[in-house]
Amino acid sequence: MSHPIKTADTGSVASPDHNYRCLRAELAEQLVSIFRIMFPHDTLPDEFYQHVTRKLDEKVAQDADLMRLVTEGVDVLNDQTGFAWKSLSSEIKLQVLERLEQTPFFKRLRSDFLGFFYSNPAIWSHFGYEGPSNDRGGYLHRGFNDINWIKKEEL
Amino acid sequence: MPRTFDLGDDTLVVIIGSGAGGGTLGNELAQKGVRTLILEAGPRIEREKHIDDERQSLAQLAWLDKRAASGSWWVAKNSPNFPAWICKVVGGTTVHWGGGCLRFQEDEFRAKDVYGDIPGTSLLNWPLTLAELEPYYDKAEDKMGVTGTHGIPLHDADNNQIVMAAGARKVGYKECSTGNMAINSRPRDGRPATIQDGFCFQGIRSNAKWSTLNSEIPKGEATGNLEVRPECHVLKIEHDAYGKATGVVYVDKGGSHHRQQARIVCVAGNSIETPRILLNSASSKYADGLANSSGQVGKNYMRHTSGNVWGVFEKPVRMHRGNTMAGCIKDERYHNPNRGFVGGYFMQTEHLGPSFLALNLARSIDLKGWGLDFTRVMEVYEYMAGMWLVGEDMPQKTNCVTLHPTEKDQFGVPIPNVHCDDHANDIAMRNHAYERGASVYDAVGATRTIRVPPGPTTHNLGTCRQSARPEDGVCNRWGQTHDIKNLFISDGSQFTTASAANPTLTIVALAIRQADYIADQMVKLRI
Repeated sequence: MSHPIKTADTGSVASPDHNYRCLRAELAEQLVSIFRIMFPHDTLPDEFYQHVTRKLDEKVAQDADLMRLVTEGVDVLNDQTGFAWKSLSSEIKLQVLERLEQTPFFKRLRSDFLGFFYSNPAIWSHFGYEGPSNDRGGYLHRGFNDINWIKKEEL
Repeated sequence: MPRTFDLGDDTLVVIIGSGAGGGTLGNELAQKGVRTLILEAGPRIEREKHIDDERQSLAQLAWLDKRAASGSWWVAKNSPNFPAWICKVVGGTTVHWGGGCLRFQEDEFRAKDVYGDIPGTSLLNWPLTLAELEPYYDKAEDKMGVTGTHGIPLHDADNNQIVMAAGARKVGYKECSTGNMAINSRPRDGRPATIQDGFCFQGIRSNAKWSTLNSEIPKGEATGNLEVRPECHVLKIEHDAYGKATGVVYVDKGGSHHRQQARIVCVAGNSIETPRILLNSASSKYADGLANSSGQVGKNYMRHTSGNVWGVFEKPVRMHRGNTMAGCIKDERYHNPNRGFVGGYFMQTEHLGPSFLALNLARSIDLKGWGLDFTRVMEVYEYMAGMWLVGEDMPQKTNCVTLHPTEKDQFGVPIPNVHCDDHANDIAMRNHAYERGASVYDAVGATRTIRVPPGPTTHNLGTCRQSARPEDGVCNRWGQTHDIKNLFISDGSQFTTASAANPTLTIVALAIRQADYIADQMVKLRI
């Protein structure tokens, strides 16, 4: 069931940088950090991870159960060490996430990340993927068979 | 010009579904002068509107109505509400397919005789031979413009295929090529040659690939004998006191219910919706659903023994440039029980963009699915080649489509539940295919290969199968149901066994053949 979220309950504070609708800036920031440990692409800036967090924010705005899953999940995660997430080393953060790997919270974050991060067209060039092609004549004249390390006689 | 028929017109052939089976049958009948109406649950989205984006295209084309899944397959646990990746649009799943067109082999029609008694299977011979279907395969290949047939040249190999072909040669395979594809390699039939657009699955924007949307349906409409009515979702088929089908009940876009009369009803809703409609049409006369005196409606669900192998190389491949699926190794497609399983399989090139590759790799048995292990592979996207494995899976009575006991869809009809467990033969075949696929990439220097089990099914088959004896299946060798002579099965549901071959060509060939039979029987006033 979907319920509108009462922003007062979740202490919504729109961050000027992130413009989250429901997630508190601090929570959103921690989610970005969690995503960076879950799916480390070290040369990619935070903005791509924030993209996923914003998508999640849009979803929790429509879904109180999801909001609860996320906030309670982060609470459980923080309780694992009792220390502020920020203060932990990457190794410890990874260990904490591994401990929660089978929880619905972890699975949901993982699945949302997989759905939203790699489908963001802004990220494709990082992977060398050139994306939509029909309006550019396909790849017929743009390297569809330009592989050069396999010799013709091998075919 | 397209025409419209009246709801009360009981002279019509009414076809449910406009994909490879329904769309082809509709055109073939219209060409013969038979007045035909196709009811399609999805909207008509012409190719100009198709999207070069995996995620957006799925949202645009796929059948997203809720379904359920059970059993030990990956899907039941991880994608239960989306067990099958098929389309809900005019053109059906021909708007989303690779284009591979392979014929069945002679012995695949005699699976029961050739494979013997395999415990746990419901194997059966087709009531049909290759010799009988061959003339229709010829017609289907000509209609679809299949490369490597009728003098149509093969495609040029793209990067992904060049890697696979080099590996195939090194491991000693003899039958590897860009394969038999219903994608134009040269302009043909008013459609252009491929531009290697890389989005062959995601619609037909370039118009090089055959589908019923760009071929059969407009041709049928041009005869003045065919109406295609989109966004008309059929709920059930009705019959008279004698048990003969009289028409169908459908819901239109606005939610209004209509009763469309018919002389003949043909069901071509894909192997999940077809049995669902028959089961949902249960009446006092047919308490177990229409055409189900055998109890076989919905049973023997098959989905091919599929999977992926990805190879990672030291130098760039750029698999995304080129036709999505235009490379095929045929050497393993033969029945050779020495490998430890019956039936055979193909290896076919497949590329995905980062968007869907991530979802694919997330279910790999060789990766953790998150963490550095996962992202390291994503980081070398440009250095990857990929193949899809497609082989014959075993029919099992317990693999089935049923009506969900409690959950209903937006129209109040029980949602379908798809139950599936792999047979031991399926597992042995998949493991063999994984190993051989990896060896192809290893032979050309892969630094790593990654195996991925199948996700939501694209080849859904067998749930209303053909059988010689009425007690063994739902329909006869013409797709005509054993129980009701003016009710036909016109899609992949009628497959008695799956064969290793991608099913579309055979669905089209069967539809052309069925059209001949229906027209003949109509003229003779037998139906």
